[in-house]
Amino acid sequence: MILRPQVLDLRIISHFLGKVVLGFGIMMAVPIAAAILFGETVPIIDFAISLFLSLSVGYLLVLCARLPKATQMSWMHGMVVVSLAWVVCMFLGAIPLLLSGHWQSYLDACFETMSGLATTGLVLVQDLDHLSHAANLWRHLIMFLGGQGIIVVALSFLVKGGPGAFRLYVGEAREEKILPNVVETAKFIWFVSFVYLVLGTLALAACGVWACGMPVREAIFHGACNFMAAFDTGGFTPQSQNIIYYQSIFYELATIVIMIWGSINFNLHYAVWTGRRKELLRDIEIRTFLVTLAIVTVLTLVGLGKGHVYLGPVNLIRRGFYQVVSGHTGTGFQTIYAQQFTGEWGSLAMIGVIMAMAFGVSACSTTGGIKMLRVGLIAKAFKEDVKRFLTSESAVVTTKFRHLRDLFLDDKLVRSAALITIAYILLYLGGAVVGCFFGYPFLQSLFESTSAAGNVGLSCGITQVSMPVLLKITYIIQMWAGRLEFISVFVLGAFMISFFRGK
Amino acid sequence: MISHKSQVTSLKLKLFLICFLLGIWNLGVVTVFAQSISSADLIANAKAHDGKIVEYEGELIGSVLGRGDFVWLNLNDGANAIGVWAPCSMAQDIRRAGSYGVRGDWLGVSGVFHRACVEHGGGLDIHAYGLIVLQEGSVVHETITRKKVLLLSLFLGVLACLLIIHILQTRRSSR
Amino acid sequence: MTRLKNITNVVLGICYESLFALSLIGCAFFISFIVTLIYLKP
Repeated sequence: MILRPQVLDLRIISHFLGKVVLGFGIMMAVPIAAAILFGETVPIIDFAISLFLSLSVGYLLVLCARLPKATQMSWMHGMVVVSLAWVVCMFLGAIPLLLSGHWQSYLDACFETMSGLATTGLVLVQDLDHLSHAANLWRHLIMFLGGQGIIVVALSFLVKGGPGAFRLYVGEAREEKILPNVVETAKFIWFVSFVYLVLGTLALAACGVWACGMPVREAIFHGACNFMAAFDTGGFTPQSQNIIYYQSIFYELATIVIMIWGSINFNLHYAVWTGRRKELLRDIEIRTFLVTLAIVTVLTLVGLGKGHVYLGPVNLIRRGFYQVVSGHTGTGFQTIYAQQFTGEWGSLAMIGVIMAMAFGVSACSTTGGIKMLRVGLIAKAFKEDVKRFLTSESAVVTTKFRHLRDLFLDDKLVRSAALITIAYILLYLGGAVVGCFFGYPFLQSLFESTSAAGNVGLSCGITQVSMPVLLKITYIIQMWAGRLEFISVFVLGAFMISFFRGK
Repeated sequence: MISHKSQVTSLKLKLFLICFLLGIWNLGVVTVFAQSISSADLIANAKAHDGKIVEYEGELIGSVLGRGDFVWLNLNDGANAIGVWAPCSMAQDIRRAGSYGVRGDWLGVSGVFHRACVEHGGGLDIHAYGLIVLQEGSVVHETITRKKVLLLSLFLGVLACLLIIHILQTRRSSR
Repeated sequence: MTRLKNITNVVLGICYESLFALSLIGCAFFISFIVTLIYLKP
């Protein structure tokens, strides 16, 4: 029996939603600082407006809630807060972008914001090469926040922990606790991210100056932005040409390394960083990733080789493998133009990249997609079933796998993995059908839909300002649902229905 | 003996010829870049243009990326930006690159187009034979509109009221 | 001593992960060499 939500439920949701919005709003001070540093006056006003508005909304939500201190949050509250927080933050985060004048409409600005928060990387920005440093930094910062998790941000600083905190954490598609206390887990995630932020920015800045010939200040700015996009497997870049702009193999190699850093499970980072380095190659996610990466790389490079698209191994790596690893890690950086996918690549190579995008990499990382843990579990389940047929009926067949510790494969795990995998596949196909409805060819529609729902960001040219409005909304929903891995989105839907059908 | 009048006529004729030839040359330059190809066409029909000499023009964006004796220039014609590989000597007249608040120099380039340049890792680029600054860049001043100032004041006021309410509420609950 | 050990582990961990990423690039180069030999012989 579904219960109709009570006023207390709404107050709990309002309180925690308000806290998350406050945390998100405070982050707008960072682009204001950047605008001051770069001497950009108008963006200071744009972000100040957005900051005051966001803080006002956050405070209003908290004040309206007037929640007594000891109130507990249930799983339902946690899920609803998470899914609503992403939508509210999208609406608020889009305001400074709209005010900059580089987005044709509020919908386009919302698309870009959700693309950033969900670490997708599909863009609708116009004249990106003349965008202010402040607005550009905001695009990349929301990728950093979204990749870490907006809830993780709130947990780190604003929500004081407690049982409700874990429910928020899980609602944002992070089930794994790295440390016993979820707030400590959130803080560890930040620690890893900041250490890599410093290292990655320095490495990319060095590449920018020495390998690319960029001025130092721009190299540092680009380094920080591209690090946030690469580590959080987002895919935004400060220039319209994406990674092509840098015209440098060293820059491309550095971004590949950072993309792979970002696609490793934070639990594995913890294990490796505390001395258990061998866990990296023993983990089921990494082993599955190695297999799938090999398969899609072979598919794509064979497709390109047969079509004589790129001549020579270096060219195949820079233009072929780069797109594969960018797609598989869910980043979306491109070293080719979007139209070249459809105009030059051929079907086999495109299928390789679509598969790469569909898979994703690790759970509890910054990547999207089905995730290697689920692919690995389903593969092991198939293997176990085949083994059962080959052994005697009285034999007990069990399968073990390593995911930070030795675990046994059970039906509940496989069921959960299979359900989410099916949901992703349906989402990819659903978006493809909508694309076909608007007249795009099936393979291109599937490519773009998988990119949106898998939070990848590679584009074959469908995502443009002139795209139909309904298709933009479809991709926004796909990015949102894909990032949150469905459950909190479904719970929000059920919560809204329960207003009418609950007892 | 040549008369003064015929000398003047001869001089006028020579001057006219020089001006005419200069005019033709300028027209030629303008004509060449009036027929320049768009980035969308280059990318969409890359195979057809591969290895051919093309004329392309666009705004220089980002910065001039120096690579020893050569430079990379990324030129954006409004639709896409394409990388141009040129000797340093060709880039000496360039003054501005486009960014926030700056319109970069509008450059015209003629050179060999490569769909997948073997020299540069398979990238789509143009190796320049000739480069010209068609239009110099300029600074673009953005102004703060009255609408934005009003919005700023409004939301600041709303936030201040909410903060006051929050403080009063906190004091009341602590009593 | 513990702090130094922690810092050493973090540094080694970062190096290990970076090496892992570079080895993936190396494997990709190997695959691309094979593809070049099979399909892109001059």
